[in-house]
Amino acid sequence: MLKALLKSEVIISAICAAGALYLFFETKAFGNLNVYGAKLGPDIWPKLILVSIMALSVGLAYNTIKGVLKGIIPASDKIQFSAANLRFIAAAGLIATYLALLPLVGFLVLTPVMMIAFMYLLGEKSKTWIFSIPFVLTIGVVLVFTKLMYVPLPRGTGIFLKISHLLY
Amino acid sequence: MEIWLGSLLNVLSPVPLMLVAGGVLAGVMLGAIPGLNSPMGTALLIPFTFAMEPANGLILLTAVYCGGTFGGSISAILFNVPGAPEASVTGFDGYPMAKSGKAGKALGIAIMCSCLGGIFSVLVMSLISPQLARVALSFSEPEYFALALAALTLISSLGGDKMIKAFIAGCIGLLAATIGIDPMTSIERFTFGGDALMAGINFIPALIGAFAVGEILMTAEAGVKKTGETVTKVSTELPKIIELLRLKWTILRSAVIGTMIGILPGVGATTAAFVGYSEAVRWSKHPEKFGTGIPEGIAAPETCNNAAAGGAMVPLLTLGIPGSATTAVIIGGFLVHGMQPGPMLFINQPGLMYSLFIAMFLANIFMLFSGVIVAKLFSNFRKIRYSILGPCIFVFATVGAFGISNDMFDVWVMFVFGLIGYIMKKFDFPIAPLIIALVLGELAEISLRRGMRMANWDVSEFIFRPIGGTILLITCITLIFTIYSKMKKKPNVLAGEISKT
Amino acid sequence: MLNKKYYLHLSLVLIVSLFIAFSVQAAEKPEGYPSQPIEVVVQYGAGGGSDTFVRNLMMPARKILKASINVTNMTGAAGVKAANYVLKQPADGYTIYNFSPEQLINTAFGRQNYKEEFAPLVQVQQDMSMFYVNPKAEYQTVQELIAYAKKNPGKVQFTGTTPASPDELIIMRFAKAAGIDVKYIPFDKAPKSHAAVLGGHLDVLHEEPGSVMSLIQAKKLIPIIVFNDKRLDKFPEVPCSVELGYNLTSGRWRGLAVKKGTPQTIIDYLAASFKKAYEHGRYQSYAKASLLDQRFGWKDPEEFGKFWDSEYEAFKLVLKELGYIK
Repeated sequence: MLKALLKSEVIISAICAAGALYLFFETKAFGNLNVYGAKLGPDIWPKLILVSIMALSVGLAYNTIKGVLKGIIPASDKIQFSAANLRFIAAAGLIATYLALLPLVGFLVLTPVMMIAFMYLLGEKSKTWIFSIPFVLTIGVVLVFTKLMYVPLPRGTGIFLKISHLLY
Repeated sequence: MEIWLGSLLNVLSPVPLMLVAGGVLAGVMLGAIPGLNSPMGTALLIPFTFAMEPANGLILLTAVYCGGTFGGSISAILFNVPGAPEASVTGFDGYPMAKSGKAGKALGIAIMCSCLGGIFSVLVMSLISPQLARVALSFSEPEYFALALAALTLISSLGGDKMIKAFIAGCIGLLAATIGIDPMTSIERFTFGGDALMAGINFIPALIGAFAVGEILMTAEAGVKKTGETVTKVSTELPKIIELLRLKWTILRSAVIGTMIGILPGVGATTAAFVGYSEAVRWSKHPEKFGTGIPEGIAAPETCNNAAAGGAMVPLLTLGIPGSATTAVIIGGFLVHGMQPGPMLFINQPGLMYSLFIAMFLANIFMLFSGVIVAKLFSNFRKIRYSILGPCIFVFATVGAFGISNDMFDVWVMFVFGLIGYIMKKFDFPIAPLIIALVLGELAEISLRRGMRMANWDVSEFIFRPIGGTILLITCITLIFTIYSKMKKKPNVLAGEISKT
Repeated sequence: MLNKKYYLHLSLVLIVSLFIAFSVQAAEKPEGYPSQPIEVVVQYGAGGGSDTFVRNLMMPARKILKASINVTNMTGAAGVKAANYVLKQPADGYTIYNFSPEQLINTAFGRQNYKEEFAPLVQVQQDMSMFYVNPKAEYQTVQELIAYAKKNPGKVQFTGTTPASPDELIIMRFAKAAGIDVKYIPFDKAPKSHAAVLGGHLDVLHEEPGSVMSLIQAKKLIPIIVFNDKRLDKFPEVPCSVELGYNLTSGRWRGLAVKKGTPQTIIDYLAASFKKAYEHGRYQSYAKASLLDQRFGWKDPEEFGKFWDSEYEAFKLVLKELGYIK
């Protein structure tokens, strides 16, 4: 029984159901608006979805537990911490850092740095590629997007703003 | 007839022909690069058309438009990053096909079907534009609701044996679609008091995140060498006649659906692609194969979105009502010459209209060539190792998400959906239902609420309508049938665990 | 004696007014401005009414200001997104905002506070509100419409763009003045509302004439009233609201603003430069083609600011009555 409860599907169902329940109370914030005698107010549709999510989660959990108990589904997944997990965390962390710094440092300066780090992370060996592609691509993207299509890519602040202004 | 001939001669002179060819090529390029799209391209070209002959300027704009609608599918197939929203669905089957080494074939089908869909809609609209416009106007909110619901029921077949998981993913997508300012009452929903979520979740960053970023994260975890798929040779091959004949019903059905949806003001080529895909699944003999990389899964959305692009010109030219984002911009191309598209233009300047029809016809032919050229160019990137290509795709995904409304928030949406996509893949939840629900959720909800307000909250007035009611009926029957037949099959939970797609 | 005094006064007045006129005219160029590209932020998508307005005004303005001007579209959240972006930039006159009635409405909703956030620059356009009906409708004039609505309370359905918008507000102000009970059905994009009335699904359309001109000429939409103090040359048969006894003349206006705290010299200089751009032939020909020359729309910074306050009060009142805000 305990093994069945630790199955990832069951855990995900529990998270979904709990989240849906929380959001269900959140609908109170906009449930009382009454415009033109609205019978289908802004809260009805989200409530309907949230109830469905809760019902479906219960269904999924029930099916999984039943399956494990009957022995058709292998019991708990082996969750082990490995180098692979580390690589995933590094990649996600790199992306998050990149996005957080983008408004401060600007696209032009930060992007090659991120790309070089990313290529190392993915195990690229060739130095020539690692130190050429990021710069070529960044400058190409900046020129096409800002000069041709007027997309205002983040320029950064302070000294980085001045560097960005050199090109766009 | 004389006008037709005159227009034909006008278009078949060097300058318009060059504009068509150049416009299509530019459009395909714009479409293929994530972050650049045809509304942007046409908006930027409008000042230049000011200096041209009115007809030539409009020919250029429509050529860019036609090309842009197709272009997005190139990057969707090769990198799983749709270059334009219209190509959102193309990646569902296009990318798995490319991954299994048949990128060239996938591109060939996309190009051919785009061309056929486009030509079909141009022919239809040059023959019966005014009648089509009347049909378009007969659609009201209940019909839109029925259409959205019909496409949403696709979720039930997409999950395969994992139906409950597919429904959960779909519900989360529907919920995400409600975030932001409510279009009916202007009240904020699920914004938690902040400004960031007020504009809602744009589906393009979400889509790029769930597919492309999720994929990058998965690959980072698995390590590049293990997946190690490097495609050495991607030569675009147009499908052979026999292959096209096998797809004939898919193409024909999608062309009709695409044209019909295109003429509706208010839904565009993106919705058309979703509906076309879901109908292809509905009528298919092997619906479970969709999403694994089958030709039908590329043919249906590609035929549909290009047919819809042509269809969207019908309300524009006959009523002055744009059916899509790009056609809204093209209105500007008329305005700079002091013309307004609409019924009067059809009466006063039929020659111009016919020239446009012919130009669009030619644009779809040119699309075959420029499609092959650009696809060749882009497929070279597929040969690059993933350890180099992955970061490049990520940069394009970032600017693609940023370019939607020049806002960093969209890029964060992309990242969050990347994590969601990663988790879903890891635990074997299908991602497509999430995206479908996110795209169609608002159309379904708002057309229901708006329609009910128009019907004075009277359900029978909302349901008992000739077109809307029929679509609803068919939808309900097939939905019940799908669920029933799956229940009867005894949901084999084990199969759901093993068959990881 | 009297004469002398009179002349003295007159000349004094003349001198003072000349001085004022001169100082306004010159609006001397602030030191070192502009030395970098100016960004104009538009809260609507490319190709819409506000976007074309900004792009057409900036075309001559580039030459007048001798600066490069970039137009950025930032859509979503009823303009809150775009406004927040502008507020994050320094108040140095290099970021200009396409200010529109939505900011006043957002303030009423408590999402923004225009008084503390923006300093008025100039209003450039004053568009006109008009109502249209389907030629197959039972009523073809505004009087017939009112009579019908009085007989069938709550049955007549008006449509326009987005809820709690200037469109809804003018419709409801009109309904109140005419003493009728009507319903408003919002669409998120204007073309959809046109289609709903053309298809006979909804009864009365609110729209500016520029975007439905072709449909009016083809008699697919019948204009029944224009909210103005006189009839328009273009539609001499359409009655204006004031002659019918409704003192409603508001319509969509389009203008520019900068972040509060921008130096007054820069505001004055920009206002004077945009005035020149407004008078430029390139802009005027666009205005004429889009029927934006029917009403005088120019307002200087001070006048524009006062106008914001009066509009805000009027909007707030109607929004409260409709139940949108408490």
